[in-house]
Amino acid sequence: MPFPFDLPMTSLTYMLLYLATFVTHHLSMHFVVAGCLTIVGASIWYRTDNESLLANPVIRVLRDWMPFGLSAAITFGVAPLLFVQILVPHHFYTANLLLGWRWMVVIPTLIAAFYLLYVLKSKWFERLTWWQRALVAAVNAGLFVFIGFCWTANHLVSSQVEAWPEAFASGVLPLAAIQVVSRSLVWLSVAFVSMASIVTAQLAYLREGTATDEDLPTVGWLRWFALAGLGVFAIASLTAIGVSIPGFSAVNSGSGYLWLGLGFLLWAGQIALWDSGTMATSRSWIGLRLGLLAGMLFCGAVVRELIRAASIDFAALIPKHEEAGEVQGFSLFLVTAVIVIGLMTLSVWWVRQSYHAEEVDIES
Amino acid sequence: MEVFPVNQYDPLMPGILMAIVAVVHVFLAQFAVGGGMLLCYFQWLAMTGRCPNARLFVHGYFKWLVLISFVAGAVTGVGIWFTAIQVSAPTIGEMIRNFHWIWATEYLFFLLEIFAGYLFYRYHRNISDAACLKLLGMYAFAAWMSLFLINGIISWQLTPGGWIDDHWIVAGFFNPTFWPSLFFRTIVALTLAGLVACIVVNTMTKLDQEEKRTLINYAAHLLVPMVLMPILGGWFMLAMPEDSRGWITGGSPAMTLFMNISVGASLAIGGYAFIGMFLQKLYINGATATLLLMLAFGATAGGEFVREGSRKPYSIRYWMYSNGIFPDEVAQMRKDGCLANDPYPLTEGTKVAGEITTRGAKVFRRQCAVCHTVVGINGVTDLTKTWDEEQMRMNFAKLQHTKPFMPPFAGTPEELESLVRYLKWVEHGDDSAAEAPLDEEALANIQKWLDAAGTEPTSGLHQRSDVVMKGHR
Repeated sequence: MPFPFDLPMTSLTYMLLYLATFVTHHLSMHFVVAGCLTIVGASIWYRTDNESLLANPVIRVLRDWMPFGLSAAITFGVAPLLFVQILVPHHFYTANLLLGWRWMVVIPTLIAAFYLLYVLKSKWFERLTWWQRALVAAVNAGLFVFIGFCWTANHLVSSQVEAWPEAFASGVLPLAAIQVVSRSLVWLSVAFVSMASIVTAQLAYLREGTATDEDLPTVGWLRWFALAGLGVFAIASLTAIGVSIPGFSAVNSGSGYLWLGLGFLLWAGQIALWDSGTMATSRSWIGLRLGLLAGMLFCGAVVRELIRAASIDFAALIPKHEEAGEVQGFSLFLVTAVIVIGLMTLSVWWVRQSYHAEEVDIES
Repeated sequence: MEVFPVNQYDPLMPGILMAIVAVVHVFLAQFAVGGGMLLCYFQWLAMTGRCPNARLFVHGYFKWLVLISFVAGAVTGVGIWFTAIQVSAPTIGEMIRNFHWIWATEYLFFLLEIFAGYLFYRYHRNISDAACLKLLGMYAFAAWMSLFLINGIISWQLTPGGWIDDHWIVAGFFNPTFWPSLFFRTIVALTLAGLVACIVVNTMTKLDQEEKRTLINYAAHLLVPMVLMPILGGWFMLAMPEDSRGWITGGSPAMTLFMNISVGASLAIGGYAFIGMFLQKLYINGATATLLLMLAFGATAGGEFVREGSRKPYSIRYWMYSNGIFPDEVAQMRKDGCLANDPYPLTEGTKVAGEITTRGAKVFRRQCAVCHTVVGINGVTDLTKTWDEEQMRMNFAKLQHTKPFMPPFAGTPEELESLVRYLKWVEHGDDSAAEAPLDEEALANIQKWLDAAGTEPTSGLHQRSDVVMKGHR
């Protein structure tokens, strides 16, 4: 059986929960990071035409939905954070401790970045000059890139057990620039693919203020973002695997070829769907494209874990997973999951049942 | 035995970092819980026509809730995880390992809370009043369920109850302090929501003073349950372990001070709220409302310090000491040393005089650094400056007897002597005294004192020593 299906049932359960929640976290995080960078670019592109910038449907959707996107990214990020502590507890904690002050800075950084997203959404932002707008969005994007770097560093440090004492003593993290850059490019490039996929879906289906029927056909340029993102993603992913010795040997296996092959098919499918201008701006292909993207991210996440498992003594962790698996509460979690999904559906139904297009004037 | 690198943040002790993040998060999270209930109440007031401006208030208040609670509240919630790892990775590791499905269940309610909250935030102008009330009800229910579930894990740290015997999760979750803590926190949540409401009302420029007063008097209804706080506080104290109760009622000056801050601030808010706002229906301006909210922050901070401090000498009572060492490891560490499995050298730039003080600094890092600094806040050199070396040796060897809220020393006589040398070297800077060859007689004395003290704590083991000392984990 390929990894992770070759793991014992308990380890597999935690791993699948980790992988699935990791992908949901990434999708929403990508939307925000690439969204901020897109606003930087658009502020420069439309530097003499403020109205066009604010009227652009992509910019409109991004400004309106990025705070929600970050809220979703944080909310969806809690679940993989929980499961990684079951899967690789000692490694995860040690890497956090070695990153020390960087992790502590992540908290205020994230709060500042969150509030800046509300600034991007505000009327005040609209009154700024073009370079001020670009600067605010760039600072916002920079904060997210720093947080992304911390996660990348955490993952790399956690996999290098033999380097921990020296890293602790010297304060110098055992990170090669090529590793950090290639890994950062992996998620930064695919972020544009995710953002383009989500924004086109929003423009196709949102009908309460943000989008109109005319919007979707006008955003064909998003396909260039997606195609470029997919191209860089492929190169950066192969580079990240190639520069890592355990990475290369891990994917040079049956499991590695399987997930890489499947990922390649999903990647190629997206290329095909984005390549055609008509398909890129048609509602018909949006669901499939999002599905292919989620599948590709899942394959990428599996390869990432495959490399991690090859880098550390993963077999020694399996008894710990079994120990954790003996803890009660799984059935409570499953029953609650069903109830909560039901309650979410009920909440949506309430809104749909009583929705009316005209807004109530609360002030009067 | 897993050993983690320990970061020292002198002159701050790691616990201060934890306290800052935790107090802010608890304050915001409880505001979110109470805010949901308050909004349901005002939505109902609007729908029944009892309060003409209630709908306007709901609209304004929810924006604050989103901006403060959904943003800073959510981020500091995740931040607590990061901070807890920095302070004590073994503790958070045990909490996650033993309660991860409860945590995952709590996460589902957090998801529902955010989901219902955003539906309301996004669509409340486009849906019926009844749908608004249902969404707010869903939000309030989910937020309170988050509190319910987290409360079980947090209160388990102080009073693990029957869990310690058989690891039955129900016994650990519904532990002796679960219910008083849950009810107490629910009332705190209502209080915070009510006080924030008073501030929000004062920002509503479209209303005249009489209209504001009406809204404030309705908000004051949420403060009335504060009259139950003394009863719940008493219940909580009775459910606490006897020695923990002792720390906060005079046994530990710091804990007693924080307890008094919390009680005093709560009394001031409760008295003003009940007499002034509820009975006399007084108007409260923005400045007064802010002052009361600051007092509430003080009460929360005091309460959280007490909650953290009263567990001493444990981080998880009966299960793990505050320095991350398990009780059943102490005897082994007395033989093998606490540095036997510690691969981490001192950080570059750490000042030491030589080999002995290097070992002493490492012992300090392993056993003391979670709660103490060397020369900063709660600095050991300051706390021990009136002790000569001999007193220091004896007091450290008999630590759990000298200071019952301290865990027993977990190391060899050589390690204890190195710790004493290091601390005295930091105080006096005498290199030759610090690095002089170890004196066999002094080591023999330390061994004698260590043997006399034993490896059991003096605190908290009254009926649990058999379980803990057998290494039942």
